[in-house]
Amino acid sequence: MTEAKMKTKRRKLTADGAIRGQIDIPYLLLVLILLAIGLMSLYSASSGSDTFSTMENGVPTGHSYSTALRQALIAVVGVALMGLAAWLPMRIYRSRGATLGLWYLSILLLVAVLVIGVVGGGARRWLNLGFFSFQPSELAKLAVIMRFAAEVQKKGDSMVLTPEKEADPKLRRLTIRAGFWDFIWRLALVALLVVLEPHFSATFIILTVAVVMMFIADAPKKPWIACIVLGLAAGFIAVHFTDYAQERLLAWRKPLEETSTDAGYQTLQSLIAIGSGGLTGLGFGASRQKFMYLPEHSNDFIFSIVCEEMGFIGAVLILILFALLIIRGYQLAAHAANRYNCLVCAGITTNLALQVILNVAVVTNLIPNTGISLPFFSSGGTALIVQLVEMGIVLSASAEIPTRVRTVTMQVVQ
Amino acid sequence: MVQKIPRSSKEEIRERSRTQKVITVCGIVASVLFLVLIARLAVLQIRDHEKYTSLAVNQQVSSTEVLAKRGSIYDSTHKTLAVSSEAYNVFISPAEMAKYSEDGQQIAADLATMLKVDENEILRAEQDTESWYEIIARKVDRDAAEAVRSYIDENDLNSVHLEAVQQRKYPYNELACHVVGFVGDEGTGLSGIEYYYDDALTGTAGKTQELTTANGEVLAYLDSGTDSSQGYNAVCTIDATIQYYLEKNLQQAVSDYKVQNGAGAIAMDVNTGAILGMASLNNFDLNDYLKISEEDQKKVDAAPNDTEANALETQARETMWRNKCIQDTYEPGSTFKILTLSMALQQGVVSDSDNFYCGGSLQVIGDSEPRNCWSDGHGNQNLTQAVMHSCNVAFMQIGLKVGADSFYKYCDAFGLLNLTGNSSDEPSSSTGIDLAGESSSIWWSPAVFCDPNNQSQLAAASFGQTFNITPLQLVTAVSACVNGGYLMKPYVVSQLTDSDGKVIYSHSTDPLRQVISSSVSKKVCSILEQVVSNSEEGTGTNAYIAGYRIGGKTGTSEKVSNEVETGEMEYIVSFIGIAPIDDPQIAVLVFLDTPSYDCGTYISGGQMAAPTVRNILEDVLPYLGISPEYTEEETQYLDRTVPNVTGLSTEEAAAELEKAGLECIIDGDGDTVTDQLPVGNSKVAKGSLVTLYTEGEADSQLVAVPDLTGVSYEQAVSIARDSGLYVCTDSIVSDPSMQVVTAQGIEAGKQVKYGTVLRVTIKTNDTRNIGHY
Repeated sequence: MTEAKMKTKRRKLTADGAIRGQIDIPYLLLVLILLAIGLMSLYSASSGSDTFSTMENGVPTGHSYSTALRQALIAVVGVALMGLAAWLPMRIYRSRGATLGLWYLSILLLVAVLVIGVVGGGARRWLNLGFFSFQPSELAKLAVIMRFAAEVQKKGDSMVLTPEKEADPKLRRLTIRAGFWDFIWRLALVALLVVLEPHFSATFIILTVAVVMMFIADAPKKPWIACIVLGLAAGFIAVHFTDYAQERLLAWRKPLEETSTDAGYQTLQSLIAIGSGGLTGLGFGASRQKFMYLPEHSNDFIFSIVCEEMGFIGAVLILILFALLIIRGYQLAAHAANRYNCLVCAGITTNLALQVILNVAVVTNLIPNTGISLPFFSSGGTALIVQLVEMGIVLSASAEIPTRVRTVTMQVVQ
Repeated sequence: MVQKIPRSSKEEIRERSRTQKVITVCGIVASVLFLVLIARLAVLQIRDHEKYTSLAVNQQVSSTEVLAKRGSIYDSTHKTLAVSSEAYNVFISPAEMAKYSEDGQQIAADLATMLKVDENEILRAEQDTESWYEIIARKVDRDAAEAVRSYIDENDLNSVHLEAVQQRKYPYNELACHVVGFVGDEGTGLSGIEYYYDDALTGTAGKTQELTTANGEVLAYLDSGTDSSQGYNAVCTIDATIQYYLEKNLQQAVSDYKVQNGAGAIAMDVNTGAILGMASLNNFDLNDYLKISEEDQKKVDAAPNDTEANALETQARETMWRNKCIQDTYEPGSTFKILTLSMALQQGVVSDSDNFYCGGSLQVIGDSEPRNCWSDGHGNQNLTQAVMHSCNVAFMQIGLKVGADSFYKYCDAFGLLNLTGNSSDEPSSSTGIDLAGESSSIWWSPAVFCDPNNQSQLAAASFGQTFNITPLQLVTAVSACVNGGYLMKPYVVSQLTDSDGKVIYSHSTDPLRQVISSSVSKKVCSILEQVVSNSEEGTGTNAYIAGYRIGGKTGTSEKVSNEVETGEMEYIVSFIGIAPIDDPQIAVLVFLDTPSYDCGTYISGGQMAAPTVRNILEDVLPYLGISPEYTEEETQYLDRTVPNVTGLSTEEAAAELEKAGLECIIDGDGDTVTDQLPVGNSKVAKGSLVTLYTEGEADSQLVAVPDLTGVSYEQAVSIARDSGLYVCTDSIVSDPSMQVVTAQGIEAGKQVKYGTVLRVTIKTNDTRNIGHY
């Protein structure tokens, strides 16, 4: 059989009449490379405190790989789930069952975490599932993306405010209801549940992703811009009137001063790790800060250890890989077969971009310390699995990009 | 439900391009943010790299200082004079005590009992809660430190700590304290060899650098650590035995003559400049160098207020620590005549046959009135007699013959002054001995001294007045006069060795220069011998030791400046002895600063310092392996050793005793000696009568000890005999009729067993030479 025949044979018609082709290999490769680097980094970052986790007669007896091994096992499951997610056609995700199922599950879990969640770092964010602690806010991000994309696809032009609709008050009201009110209350509900944990960074990410999706969907701009303004004001007030935020804000402004707050110490140790890495780094596995100096060396601050070990060069290479993945994600969104696919890809990509940018901004003390993990790097099962499933969904969408677009427009990148 | 509202493809294309624009904006925004992040990383990792690295090293690397063991100080026979051992300081950290809320009261009580320190002191230290370091016990030994350590562990304390330090121990306590010196609390030498050789003895402290976890566990030892190198050991020229003899005899002189202002003695190897012993009284215990004498302590306690008490204490310590041999300068007086003699002979301006007339005084140019000799007049004297008499008038004449310029040049050559400066400057100099705090000499400037219109300074200098030198300078210069003419640099450390015994530094015994010729040196020696051995005319006969050839010179110098202040004439009496004078090896100078008028001995070098030097040499010369060679004249008066004759027949016993130079009487009618008095092997004076018993044991009744002091040795023997007792002496008996008992071992009036041998001290009662010579 010739190659051409094989290709033809493998293609199936999607429900919309689109043809499912090959998934986007560059995107897959970028994900796998980042995952591999992430796991290695996690091994190095966690080996120090794992080794010293138990001591006998002053000699450390812990296993250096306990955190990394667990994460690797989760990654295997995650990659399998990513494969499954990529294999499933987009119509499955778009189905009412999937969308609403995920949505209500997330809401349920967000409520559950407020009631029976485990407290950590001053916030109630985890559900203890015995073998595994689950972070519902991670799932909520995906739920919002899926629900909003499906809603946009469903509403179609009814939520787009054209000049003609603008002129007619009734049409205008209907359009704004479809393009704003139908979304905002759902968003507000999720955001409220997440902020109650409190989990500001997740709230911020969910809101930002949703707003970006609404702009891409051409929803009525005025109410959404008003929302952004209101949101910023609320954020500002929150920062100024909660001790929790104040403490972190102080640590952000003066990280090098002797500070008794954990956040300030964390930031200082992060800067020491990054700065002492220099241009070329101390070498893989040679981090010193991971030996309990930097408390969150395996979670939110893993990138500091990466910077310490791999130096500026290594850190920039990793950032470039992330940037490529994000740009590729946006390209896939831009050329998606339909609005739903486009919005899902754009939402997932924006989420990823925000995670990476905010995380690195935190560890380099560009912004105050909030709890944001670095995708593929930070230890944490929920985040990794959700992340990989999201990548699988993008890959699934990539397989539905029309061949013409794929060959002509995307040649440049390939 | 798919695509309810059909859209034209044109619309769709417009919509798609709008969407793509928005997405492109998102991509661009993300890219820009990534560039911001990269820029931020560049700032942190490249621009601020140094800053963060130093912060990192600060917290990740901990340095532990490894103390270098301070080197030991040994005497010339390798006896340990100073050695370091490990000890611990116990300190508390009131800051941590507050931080961990530990029970300060309890800790203070426990530590006070454990370390035997004042509980209130600890409580006071605990007040300062800012402090992290309050030492509460210094230099506790290993056992005490262990006890504290287990106390810390048991109670899980954070505020009590131990630190390893070194403790300096001086096994001989007071011996040679001024030479050895001591080490302060901080471990640095503060005086003597400890100060002068501080760098060599200290060694180099090393440090280990460990990479640690945040909890302090060591991850790795870094190469950046440095090894500690143990300090070098110093081997002294001081011989502990000779030093002991010096100190013992000097101490005796101080108490005999009630010396007011301390005393000093130096024993020098004349051929190398090595200091064999150097004593400066009063001594102090190097192991407790702050402790002043009880007498001084009483004065301090009696002080009306703290300020005065502190001042008194400080002054007492400074006096106590002062090494008079090198830190005090004095007018050497007549001992200096050895140098005037040497330069005159070397200059060739005097000869044996010259006549020096002394009419009791002499007036020189520049003097307003004549200067008196110490005696009323020595009449006509040849050169040797002039020295023997220590005639000031003769020496003024000799000095004038030498001339002021030459006199100063010789003094320069002898290392007593330094003429390299301006002629109007005072030409000060010191020997450069390797000890802390040496003083420099004080002389008139050459311009004053060499003024042809005023020879008064030259005249006074000729007999050792009008200038100040250190005792060490005198010994050094005199050594050059007798060792063949070579000026040696005095030194106390002959070698520095490392911990493996490898010699790192060795003192060179090359002479600095030859000042006088060896023939002149020989001549000087022969004249100096006459000073001691000529029993008719010598002024130093109190230094005479039968069996040895001793040379020497007396000195009695007025403390002129003191006289001006108090109006009372005070003296420093001294004697420098050289032995054996036919092959000089050792020079011993003794100087006694301000003996008391009421000590019973006439204040002069000949009466006080000469016997002291003799006592020292009597101890030292046999120790140096120089055996006495008695002339027949000398042996005849020596004490005898009683042979053990018990068990022999009376005839045999009598013959044995006769062989030993002793006579006997026999008590009883038997033929065999059943007992004897004194018992065999005792030493008794010549002429003692041994009692032999032929029936039973010797008499054992008690008899009263007679007072023997003040009588001649000859008389003492007969007085003792009358009481049924015997005498002996450790001193050398040269003339029993002239030597007077000055002390007796068992005090008069005490009851002793019949036949006991009384040990007495004797001294030549030389009343011919009364005066300050």
